[in-house]
Amino acid sequence: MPGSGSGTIRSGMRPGNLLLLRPIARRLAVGAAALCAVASLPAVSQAAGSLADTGSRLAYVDPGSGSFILQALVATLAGAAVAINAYWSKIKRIFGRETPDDDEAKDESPSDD
Amino acid sequence: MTDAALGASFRDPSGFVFEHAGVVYRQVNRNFARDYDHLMSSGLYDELVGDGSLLAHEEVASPLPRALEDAAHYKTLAPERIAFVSYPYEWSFSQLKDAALTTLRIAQTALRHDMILKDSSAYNIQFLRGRPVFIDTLSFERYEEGAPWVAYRQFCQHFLAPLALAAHRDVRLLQLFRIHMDGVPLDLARSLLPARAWLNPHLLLHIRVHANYQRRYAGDTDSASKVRAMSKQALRNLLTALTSATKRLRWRAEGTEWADYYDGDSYDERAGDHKRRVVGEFIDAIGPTELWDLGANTGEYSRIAAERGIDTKAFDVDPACVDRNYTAVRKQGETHLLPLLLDLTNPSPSIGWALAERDSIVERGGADAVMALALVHHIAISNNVPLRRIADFMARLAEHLIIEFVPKSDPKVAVLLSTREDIFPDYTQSGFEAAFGERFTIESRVPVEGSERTLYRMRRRATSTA
Repeated sequence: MPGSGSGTIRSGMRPGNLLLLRPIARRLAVGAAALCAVASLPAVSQAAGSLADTGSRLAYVDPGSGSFILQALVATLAGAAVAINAYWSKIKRIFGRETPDDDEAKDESPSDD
Repeated sequence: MTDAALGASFRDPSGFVFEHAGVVYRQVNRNFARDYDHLMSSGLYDELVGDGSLLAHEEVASPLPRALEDAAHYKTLAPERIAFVSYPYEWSFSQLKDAALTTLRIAQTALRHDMILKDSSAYNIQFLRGRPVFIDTLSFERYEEGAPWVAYRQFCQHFLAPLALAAHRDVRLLQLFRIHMDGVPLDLARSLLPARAWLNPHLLLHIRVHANYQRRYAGDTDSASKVRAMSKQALRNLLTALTSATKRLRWRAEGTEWADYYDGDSYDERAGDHKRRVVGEFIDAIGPTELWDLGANTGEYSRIAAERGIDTKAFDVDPACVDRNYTAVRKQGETHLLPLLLDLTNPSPSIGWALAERDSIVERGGADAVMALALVHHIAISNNVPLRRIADFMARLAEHLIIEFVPKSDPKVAVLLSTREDIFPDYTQSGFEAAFGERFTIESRVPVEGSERTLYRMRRRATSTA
C-alpha cells in the first residue's frame, strides 16, 4: 500500500526495528488479550444460547466442564490472534516487507527440527 | 470359540477390535452406523487414506461367526495389518510431536467434511512405513453445529502437556505415559513446568488456565451448559491455535550425556568397516522378515537390515539417539526402520486395566532375529545382570541372535570398571560362550579386525523355547 502518507512514516521509523519488536509485541498482545478474556469469563458463561440447545450427544470421553468453558475462550483468543497477525502483515506491507512470517513458513513441514 | 475383544478395546461404545483366526478385525456397532457411513461417503476416508494419514480397511462381506450372535453388529472391517504396535512412552520427542500434528491435521480435514474427532488419544497413532498413521476408524463422528471439541482436554493431556514438559523441563518426563494411561494430568503438568513456560501464551492457556478451570468447574455442569455454542469457525481457530502451540515446542537431541558419549565411537575405521560387513553377512545368512536391534544408538547397524527390506526396530535407552534416528528416518523417507525408546534393564511392562490394555514388549514380539551389538557389557557390568540371564531373555525374544562380545580389555569396558570393584570373574569370552551356549547354538564366530571384540551368530536351541 504505497499511499502518499506512508512515506512520512517510513522516514520516521525503520522497518528493522519494528520487526525486532514484533514477536515481543505479539506475545504481549496475546497475553493481554488472554488476561482480559479470563477476567471477563463470567460474562462468557452467562451468555445466551446453551450447549443443550445444540442437541450435542454425550461423549464417551469425558470432556470436563472446565475444558468446555475454556475452549470457547481459546477459540475467541485464537480468532483475535489471527486478526492481530493480519494487522501486522498489513503494517509490514506498508513498510515494504512482503514476505510471510518466516517462523510460520518454516513450520509447515513436520519435524523440521 | 467366541472371538474376544482385544484387551484395550472396551472404552468406545461405537465398536471394538477383535481377533479371529489370527486376523484383527474391527466391528462397527449399529449406534455408530450413520457416522461410519458419513466417513465413507463424504470423501473424508478417501482423502485421508489417499494422503497416507489414515489406516485403510476393507469391509468384510460375509459376516464372521461372532457378528451373527451380536445384536449391536453393523459392519465388520478388516483394517490393514499392523505388524507391531508401539506406545507413546516408547516414542521420542519428535515422534510424539509428529503424532500430535498428524492428529490436528486430521481433525482439520475432518471438519471440512463435516466430521470431528471424538477423541484424540496418542494411542490412535501408529508409525507405519516410517511415518505416523491414524488407526482408529471409529474416532470420526458427524459434526453438529455449535458443538465444542470434546477431545480438547484429551489432546492437552496426551500431547501438549508431555511435549511442553519435555521442551521446558526434562525429556525423560515423556515416561509419565507409563503411569498415566490417559496422558499427563494438567495439574501435574502445571506443577512440574518452570515459570518461564508461562511466558508462552499457548501453554499459559492450554495448561495452566486449563488446569485451574478444571478444578474451579469440576462437576459444574450448570456453568458448562451455559457456555455459548461454538461456531465452526471458532472450532477451526481452536485447532489452529493448538497446531501453533505444538509447533512452537522444540527439543534438541544434542548436548545430553548420552549423545555426547556416542559421538566418540570406540571403533577405528577398519574395525567399523569389517563389523558392518560381518553384520551384513550374518543378516543374509539368517534372512529374517523382522529384526530388533537392541542398543541401536542412532541406527547405523539397524540400517544394514532395513536397507535389505527387513522390518527393523531400532531400540535405544537414550532419548537423544532415538530422536536423531527418527529425524533421519523422516528426512530420508525410510520405510523399514522404526526407532523406539526402550530401557532393556526395565522394558515396557503390561499396563492398564487387568494388565491387558497395553502389552509388554515381549508380548508384542515377533522378530525372528535380535541384534545386540556393543550392548552386553552395559547390561552385564553396569547393571550386574549375569550372562546366563541375558541369554535367557534374548532366547525369549527371537530364534536368531547376532551378538557382540566386548572383553574386559576393551577401552569401553575398562571405563565401566574404572570406578568400581571387578566382581565379574565370569565375564570372559569363554564364560560368555558357556552362558549363551546353554540357550543357543553358536553358528558363527568372527573376531572383529583391529579390535578385541567378537561377533557371533547364534540360533536358539529347540529345547529352550521360552
